[in-house]
Amino acid sequence: MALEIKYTKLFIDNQWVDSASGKTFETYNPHDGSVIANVAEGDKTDIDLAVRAARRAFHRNSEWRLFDAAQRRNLLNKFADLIERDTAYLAKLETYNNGMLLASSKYFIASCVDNVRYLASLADKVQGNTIPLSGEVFSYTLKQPVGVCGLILPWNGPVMMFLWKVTTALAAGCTVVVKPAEQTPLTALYLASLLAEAGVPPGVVNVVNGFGETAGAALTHHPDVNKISFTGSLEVGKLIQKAAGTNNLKRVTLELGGKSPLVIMNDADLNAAVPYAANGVFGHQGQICVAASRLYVQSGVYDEFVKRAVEYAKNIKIGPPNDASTQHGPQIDETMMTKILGYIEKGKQQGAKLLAGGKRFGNNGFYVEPTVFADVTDEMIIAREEIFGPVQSILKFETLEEVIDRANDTEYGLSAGIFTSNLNTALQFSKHAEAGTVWVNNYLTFGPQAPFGGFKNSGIHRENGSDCLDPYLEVKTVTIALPKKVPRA
Amino acid sequence: MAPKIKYTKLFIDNKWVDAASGKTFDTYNPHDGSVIAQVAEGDKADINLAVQAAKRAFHRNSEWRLMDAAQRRTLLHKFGDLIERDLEYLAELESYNNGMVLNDARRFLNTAVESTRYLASLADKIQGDTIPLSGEVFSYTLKQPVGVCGLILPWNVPILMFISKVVTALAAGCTVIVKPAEQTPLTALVLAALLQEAGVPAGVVNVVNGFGVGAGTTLTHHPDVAKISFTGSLEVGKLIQQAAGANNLKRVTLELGGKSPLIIMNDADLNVAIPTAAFGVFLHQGQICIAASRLYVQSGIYDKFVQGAVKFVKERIVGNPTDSSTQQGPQIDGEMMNKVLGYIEKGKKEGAKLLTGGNRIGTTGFYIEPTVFADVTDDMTIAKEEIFGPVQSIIKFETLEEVIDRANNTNYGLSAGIFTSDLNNALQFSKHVEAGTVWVNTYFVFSSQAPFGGFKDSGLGRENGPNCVDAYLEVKTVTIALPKKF
Repeated sequence: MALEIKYTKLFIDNQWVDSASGKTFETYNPHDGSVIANVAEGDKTDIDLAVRAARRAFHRNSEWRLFDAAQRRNLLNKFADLIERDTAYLAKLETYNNGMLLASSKYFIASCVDNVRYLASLADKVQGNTIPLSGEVFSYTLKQPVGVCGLILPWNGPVMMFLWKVTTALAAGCTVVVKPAEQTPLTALYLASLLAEAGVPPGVVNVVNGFGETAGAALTHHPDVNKISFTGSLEVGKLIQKAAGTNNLKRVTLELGGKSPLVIMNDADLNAAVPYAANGVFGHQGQICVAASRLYVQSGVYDEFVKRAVEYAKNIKIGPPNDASTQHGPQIDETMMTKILGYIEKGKQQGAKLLAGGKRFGNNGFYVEPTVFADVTDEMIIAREEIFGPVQSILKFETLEEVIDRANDTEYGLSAGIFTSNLNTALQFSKHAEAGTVWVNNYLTFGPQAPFGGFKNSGIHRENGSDCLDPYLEVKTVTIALPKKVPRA
Repeated sequence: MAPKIKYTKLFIDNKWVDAASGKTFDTYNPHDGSVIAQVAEGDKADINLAVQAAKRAFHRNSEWRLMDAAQRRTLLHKFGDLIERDLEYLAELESYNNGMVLNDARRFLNTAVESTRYLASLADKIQGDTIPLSGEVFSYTLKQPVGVCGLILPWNVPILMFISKVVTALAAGCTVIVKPAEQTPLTALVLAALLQEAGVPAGVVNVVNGFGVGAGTTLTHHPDVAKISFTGSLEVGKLIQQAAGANNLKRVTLELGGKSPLIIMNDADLNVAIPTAAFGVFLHQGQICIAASRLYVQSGIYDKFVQGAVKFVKERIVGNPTDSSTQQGPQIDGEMMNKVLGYIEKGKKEGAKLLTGGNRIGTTGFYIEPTVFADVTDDMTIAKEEIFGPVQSIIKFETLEEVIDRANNTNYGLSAGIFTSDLNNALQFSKHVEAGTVWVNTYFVFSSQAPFGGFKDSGLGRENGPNCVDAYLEVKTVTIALPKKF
């Protein structure tokens, strides 16, 4: 039941082109590791061409810059309609190349359509201020697009990340060069074709597939790129910060990793907490930056919670992502699978109690069993480093004050959660947890209305929310001499 | 009649302390190059102590974090009142250590008081949103202080830069370590004493003087510092951006250099344009990031303008900064003076027409004649690189469309200006020029209500304006499960 793959070339200046070198690279289906396509491999030369096209399309007299903001809004709304039209195909393609459960990709793409519409609607709400500046002046601010933006995508949510970054940048009036993750190059190309169909002028959107050290580095070091937005690992995020001060000065948005604490108080509703906690770390095989990877359970309910969590994990159905009854699919590739199995070994070695899973599943593809460790302590590696796999680590705590400090004792700060029925507990925890998103009696609730991003090493700036265009804009203050009294003729 | 120097040590945890190494360094009066004090020289150990204090003072149960926003506002207003009380002394000390003309120093101090009051007032206006998030939820955002901030100051307007950064950071609820420029270490120490008098708890404000390599690099690489705000050269700005990815991930605000274009259209009012253009590049001896250092004059009035500009500049009075009739003082030090003189030589070599000035004045201190070059072209070094001295470069152009492109043909983007009486000229230029601040029929009008900062290589982020605290805050989204029906 192989899916037709329509686009495999680079998309530059609204044209499908081979890479300058003629090289291609393979891309896979994580369910069985098979090669599903050969995709054009972009490098520095291709990035240079793409940036040149984006720069030309950004000139003040270009078709794109002469659009009204409302026209940008309409174009992006049309883009949303096209995504909605092709949801079935896109979901299948995402699953095929990423291993995401088909039910999940359908759900994500539907939520993305809503997200695109929200972001589109921000295009003509970009407002400056008139300012009561002291002196004989009239002063106001303009918010103007920052320029050519390099958007570097992760492999875990390819469609969603393309849409978040590209739509935001376009709503702001910028032009973009997209570098998808090398593991998942396909859906970005399809979305580019939909943008062309929606009427985006040549050069406004370019997609160059390739590898981090070549295409990615060329983009993050390019002197004609004004801004980089990157979602991925902390390690690479730091390299991008450094690159931003290497040639020209780049504006940088980073969405990086996490080691998010989820706290279960004695007064939690366990009927809700157990499934939310499981979904929070096993959802998408644990390959999400906000995974609830440190599960702090208060001592009063610890044994009961562990029992239920283990039972829940053991009942999760592993199978092919296309199967409607499957609840757990493969990891993205062998590298990640091996890394996760390595962390599981470390957990065992360091004395964590393995209560469920712990092994690779099958011999084809990259499946890992949903795994539960209990009696984990804060200094263990599995409690400190981001695993990015289906490994739940349960830790015991006594008091709220204590668990707030333990939750914050990390360089990360992406998200956190708490289950409690007590008002003070809920408000204190959400106030003091050092995390960009805090969930109370739920987990993973997202929506375009809510800003998303990290404290500390989990990232810089926010995506979504009503201010999300700001990182793609420059503020200009205009001050015009204007006498307070009308001068006599 | 020199102002008394009361503080020369480091200010850490509300205490005056020597540097851990015991070292000190000389600081000077640019009027005659004489040494006026020995100041404690902070290095890695001292920065570490200061960061430790700032981190402790930022703990959620600290006195500072338990203050209401309104209490912060009140404290910072009190600080503004104390600056006003000691304005004359501060102006004299600034002029003594910086070479700033005393009258200008007084004006900058008045601006600093105004600025403190404006920024203080933002403390209890920090608001998040309640959000119509889809689902059975109640969702809202909190804006919380980012943490310990390293504030690295330039030497050109030390007091104003201290205020701009420190008061914003404190209004946001952060704690700070200030690293003043090594050329101008003194006024920051006096301001720290005033903050202590205003009631700032121990550890909230720390001042560590020292050098860029040493104190500065320790601060920009320190894993417990959440944010750096820096004003200075592009060269150092890039190093700071790189350092922001070296250990922990730092948030960075940069205010860097400029090569700001000022356009004089044929229909400009030359009675205003000529003096304003001069003011725009000669104020404070050209040592301002927004100096109008590329003066584009439309061909129809070019000769008349050049004539008027030269005449105006020849009347400029250069002298001792403390003299009330002085309009121009010395450059900050020998290094900068030589750099400026070097640029003047390049201008002559590359064929610009030197019409007045061009030489050092005298042999003591660091004085340079106000200098005017005409018939400058875009490819000349003096038209491309930031001189940071009293050198006006006049360039001819024909049309608005052409001059917009020429004005934008630079990696800088800090400010720009235009003199015209035509509505369309004014609005088109201000829309299309790539600069963070655009002035029309005026220049240098500054006030805290307006955001300030650079496009492109001139910087990242904005200071001043009602949103300036955002750079010192983190946005947190809280989403609480709440069924739609009871």
